[in-house]
Amino acid sequence: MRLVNLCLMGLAALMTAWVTPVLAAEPLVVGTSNDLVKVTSHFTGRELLVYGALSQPGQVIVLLRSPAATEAMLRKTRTGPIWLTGAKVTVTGAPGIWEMLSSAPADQLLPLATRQLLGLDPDYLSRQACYRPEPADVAAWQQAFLKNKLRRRDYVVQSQGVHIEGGQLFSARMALPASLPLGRYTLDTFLVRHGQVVARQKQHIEVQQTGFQAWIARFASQDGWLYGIVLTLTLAAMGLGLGILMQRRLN
Amino acid sequence: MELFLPVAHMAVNIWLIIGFGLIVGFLSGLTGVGGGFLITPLLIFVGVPPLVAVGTGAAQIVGASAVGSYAHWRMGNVDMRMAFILLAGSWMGGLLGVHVARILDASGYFGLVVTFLYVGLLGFIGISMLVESTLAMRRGHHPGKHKKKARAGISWLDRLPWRMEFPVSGLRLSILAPVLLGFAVGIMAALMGVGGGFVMVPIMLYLLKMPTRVVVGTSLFQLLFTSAEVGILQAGMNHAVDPYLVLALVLGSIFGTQFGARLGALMRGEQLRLVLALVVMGVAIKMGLGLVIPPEHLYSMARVV
Repeated sequence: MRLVNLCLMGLAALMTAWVTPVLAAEPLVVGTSNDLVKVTSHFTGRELLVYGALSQPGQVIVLLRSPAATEAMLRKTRTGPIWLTGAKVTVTGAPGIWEMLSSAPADQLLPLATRQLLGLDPDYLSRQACYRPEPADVAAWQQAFLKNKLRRRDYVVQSQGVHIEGGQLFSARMALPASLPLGRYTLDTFLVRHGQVVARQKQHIEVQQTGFQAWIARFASQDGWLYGIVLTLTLAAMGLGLGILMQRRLN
Repeated sequence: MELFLPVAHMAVNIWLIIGFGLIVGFLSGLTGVGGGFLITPLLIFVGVPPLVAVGTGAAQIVGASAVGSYAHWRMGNVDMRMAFILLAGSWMGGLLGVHVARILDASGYFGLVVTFLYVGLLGFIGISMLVESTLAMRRGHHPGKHKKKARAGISWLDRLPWRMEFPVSGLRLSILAPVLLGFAVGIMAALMGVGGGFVMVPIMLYLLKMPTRVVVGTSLFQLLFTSAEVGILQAGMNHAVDPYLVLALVLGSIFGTQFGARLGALMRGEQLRLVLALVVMGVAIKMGLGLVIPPEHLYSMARVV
């Protein structure tokens, strides 16, 4: 870990040394360990490294955000001695993955209005989402949505997640969970000073399914009927073939 | 080995799932009772969404019962006429059940309904097996005397219309009885992911009075095709059959069944059924506790189809 960190720092330093004379005006240079995340069957989460250099002192906020996702939520209610499923609400319009790492608590770096505007306030995100059918106590659902996302590590807030060394180099490690919505993620890096964003870098990270995983997931979701028939025949053949083989072996 | 399940949308250790197949197959080979009713609860316990657990449970029965059905069919233990009439009922039941599952899942109640059904069903199976096996163990010293004589024909069954000859079983019976029986089994396969042999076999034996020789073969043969229909419907309509889960379960259960059957031949049936009864009761109690213990989190995320 330490070694990787050091290497990255070195890389970033090299990059700045090389880039700085050319782009002397560029206040923020950002690189990532990968800009394409391939989701295969063995994908059970990954670390994404974000690193870069600052030409002026300040604090750094890194925000990774996936496209908006549709989620369903259930609430349990007590009826007599039994806990029943009371209601189901579908939540749309909130990002599936949202990770904010910063070098200091974000609420100390930027005023609330700015954070809301830049999508850096998780409470605001959960309030902006759309809840259908609209529950009577929507505020409770909003809070529960945020809590659930934070618990599942889909939403992450790390106020010490960005390390700044020597006032010039920074690095952050983001943990991508196993269940990733596919699509084009935005990675925003903000350089903040005196309660203001002085520089912003925007990048994209593609999350794609590849290989057999992509094929089978598409097959199962788009041609469900054909998939069902093929799978059932496969299972019958497998059961029959292996069963007969086993009986012969053991007899 | 962690694998990400493309339909269930979660990461799981695939050896654990193969292990489930192995254990359930082993128990089923040991005791002769199909283990479908244990697969679905186990999948739910590890966090598979209830509808996927049920759909995958039904589909794995196809693989688990294929070789047995084939063997019985070759030995001539299948009453084909009876099997097709049962299938007419069970395919209708399966179609209706999968629709009901879809509606329940969309409104968020499917998990709850499945839990209730399982607590009831497993409780019933567990208790009856417990009673049966303890009684059998007690009278184990006087074998051969406890066979009850067939009771006098049940009059309402004889009064049903549309009677038909079943030459293989040597019966003359209204087709309504097998159609209704099949219908009930089809609904159970769709809502619970079970084959329903534990319901079908006693009814065939004691109510329809089919000869023992054809009962197991016929019920196995029809449940192969019932679970095939339900599996296809669950995949096509509800996207609820996970390919990796189902392959791992079938792989495990085929091996487990063979070893279970070998070991079962060496052991006494009553003791084995007692073991299975205790396992079933344990699962029922665990599911039942989930209903009464206050949940850790009132709100939870669910699968979007």
